[in-house]
Amino acid sequence: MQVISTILNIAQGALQASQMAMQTISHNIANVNTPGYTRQKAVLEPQSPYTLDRLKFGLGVKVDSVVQFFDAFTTRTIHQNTSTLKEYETKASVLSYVESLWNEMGGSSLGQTLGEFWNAWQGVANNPGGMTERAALLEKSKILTQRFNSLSNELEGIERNMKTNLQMGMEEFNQITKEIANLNERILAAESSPTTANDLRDQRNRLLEELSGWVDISYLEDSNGMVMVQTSEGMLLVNGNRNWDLSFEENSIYRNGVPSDVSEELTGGELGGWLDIRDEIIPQYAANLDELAGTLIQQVNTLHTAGYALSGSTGVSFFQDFLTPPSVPSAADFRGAAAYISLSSDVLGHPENIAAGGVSGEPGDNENALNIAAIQTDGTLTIRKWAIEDRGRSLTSSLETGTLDDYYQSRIGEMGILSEEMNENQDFVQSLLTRLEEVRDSVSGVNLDEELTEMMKAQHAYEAASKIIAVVDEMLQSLMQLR
Amino acid sequence: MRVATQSLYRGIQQNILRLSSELKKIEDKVSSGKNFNRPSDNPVAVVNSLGLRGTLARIEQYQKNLQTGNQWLDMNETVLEQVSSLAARAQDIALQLSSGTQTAEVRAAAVSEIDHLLGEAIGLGNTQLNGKYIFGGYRTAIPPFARSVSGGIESVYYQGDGNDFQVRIGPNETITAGKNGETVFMDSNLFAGLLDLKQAIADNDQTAIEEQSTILQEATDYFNAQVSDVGIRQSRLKIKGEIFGQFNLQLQNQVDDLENVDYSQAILELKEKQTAYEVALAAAAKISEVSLLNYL
Repeated sequence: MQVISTILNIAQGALQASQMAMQTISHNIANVNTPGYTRQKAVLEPQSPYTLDRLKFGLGVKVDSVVQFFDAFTTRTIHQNTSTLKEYETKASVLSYVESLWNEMGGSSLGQTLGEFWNAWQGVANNPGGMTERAALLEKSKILTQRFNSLSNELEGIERNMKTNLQMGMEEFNQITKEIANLNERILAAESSPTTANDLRDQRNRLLEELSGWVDISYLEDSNGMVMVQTSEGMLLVNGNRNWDLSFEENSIYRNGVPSDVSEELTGGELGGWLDIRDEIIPQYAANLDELAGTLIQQVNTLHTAGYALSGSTGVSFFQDFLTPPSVPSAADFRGAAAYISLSSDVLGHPENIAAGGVSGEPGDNENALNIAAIQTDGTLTIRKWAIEDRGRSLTSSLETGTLDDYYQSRIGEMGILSEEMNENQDFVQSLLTRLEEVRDSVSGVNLDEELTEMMKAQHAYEAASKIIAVVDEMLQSLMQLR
Repeated sequence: MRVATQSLYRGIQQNILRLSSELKKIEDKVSSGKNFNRPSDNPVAVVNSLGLRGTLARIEQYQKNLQTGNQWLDMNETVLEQVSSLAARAQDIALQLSSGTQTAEVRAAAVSEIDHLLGEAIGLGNTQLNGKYIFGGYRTAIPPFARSVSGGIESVYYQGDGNDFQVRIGPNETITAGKNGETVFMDSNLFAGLLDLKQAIADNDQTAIEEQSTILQEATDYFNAQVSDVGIRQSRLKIKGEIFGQFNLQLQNQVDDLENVDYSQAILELKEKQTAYEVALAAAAKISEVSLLNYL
């Protein structure tokens, strides 16, 4: 009798194990499209045997554990590349916006209005006494200065947008680190019994990936199963069940409310991208635009003040003159020149005050107009070119010799190259990530055909175990009929 | 390698997305007719095309400047030719009168004709182009030549200045489109010659008439020389104009080559991408058909 009941127990255990295996399989199938889900498997093990008359008899099957097929190395690599991808994506989209602001290939771009400005000076040179030509010059100049002003304004707008982005980004960022700390605690509790908290770990990994999209991080799992997260620059974000909030105040990023800027600890990801754009890319464009505007004011005004208006008066500025240092823009420091550039009040609305004359105010004197128009092709101008790196901590300038057009076209070229580079980097990292995800999924992903096969296996095992019970039942009945 | 079901779909998805973005790029090209629409599409070509367009805009301005220069020079030519024949006519009169004693009537008629010629010469000196006196140097607003009589002595004086009008015809090149009246008229002694001739005829002074005849001959030569000088400058402008015209055409061609899409190639590319896209879509449909479920 003892043996028969043991057989029944074995069959019952087998039914149970098959059910559990089925449960795991259905969990896998249910999560076939869940992002970040790691496939699980019920690990079957024989029960420990018992000894009878020196013989060892097996006691059937049991589910030892439910394991997940997790590829820690590839997952970590994916996280790192996610932050790189997000950084490139962020930069590429802003750069493409900057390109469309400049709209170099379309009409009324800065380059084109600059050309029209010089042509208008030649128009005045062809008919120095003509009010029509003078008025046309003022009109073209107004369009030019407005183009400078609006570009400078738009660049500032991008900087402002970055600040809004940062402010909003902080909130989501804090939510994620808080959630990770929270999951750390739950995983610790769940794994206090000898089991792994598979689905909680999936959730946490998913959050680590999301966090990597915000900023470049590194993390380490301790023996309790809790992860410690820090930025790649080494600033602690999560430790155990604790996280540290970041906040954006007055253009600075504070950690845990301590008023000291930690933005240099944040690199990569969207946050790092926004900070780079705010502190390097846009300021550099703005600085070089200022140099262009400043050089224009300086060159035109130097000649213009030496020339003669129709009234014979001299010393009149064409563009609003520079400010006296330490205010900017000044003759030595062109910062803010693109926003500042405008026609001087002397010539605005007074075409007769344009100093076309080089020796007199006579209506036929066009010497100065010829000279000013010649600035366009003056290849001996030296213009400062700024390079802003290291989040604005490194400002270096070099001198470029050439015409204003040369300078401007080089900047457009650089802008195009940077934007192209970001697009290409983005494509590259994207395809790398796709490969990595394939590698990860080859370990962790659910394959429906595989699960269906497993399901068949479990089903047949279940049927066979049921058969055992039926047979044991028959055996018992034949036993009962003995007598 | 094990392949997760999700990977299959992700692969399809990403390929379709990539193909559709490539397809869009080519469609943009074909529909806009431009090889690039923003600097990042091809930075080197964009900078090239900006340079070419800049040069093109400058040349178009130089072509306008040439027109201004031509207007001035044409006007100069007409005026100078007239003045030259006017001086020749005065010399004729002087020659006729110097050949022998003339009656008082003939002399009076000659005096009045010379006076008339003088008036005409001054009028020519005060020629205007678009409301500007072209022989006044930079003083284009006032008539450069005027007559005055002081102490019974008649004279013509110049109230312009000594500057010439320059027009820009190249990056570092200007041309004199109009010389000042000092150089053109006063240095020729035409006015003084005419006045002296008038006086000499009135005085019936044969020697003086002969002297003025020589002076007027010199003045005629002087104006003829100026006409040919203007001609030289005109032909310089003409050559410039032809060069700019060719250059303009060349640049326009280069800009077109650089910026404009080669349609035959672009459409071929478009077809290729469309086919690839269709194949990817078809593959996607096939993949979802294959499953173990079909056989259970």
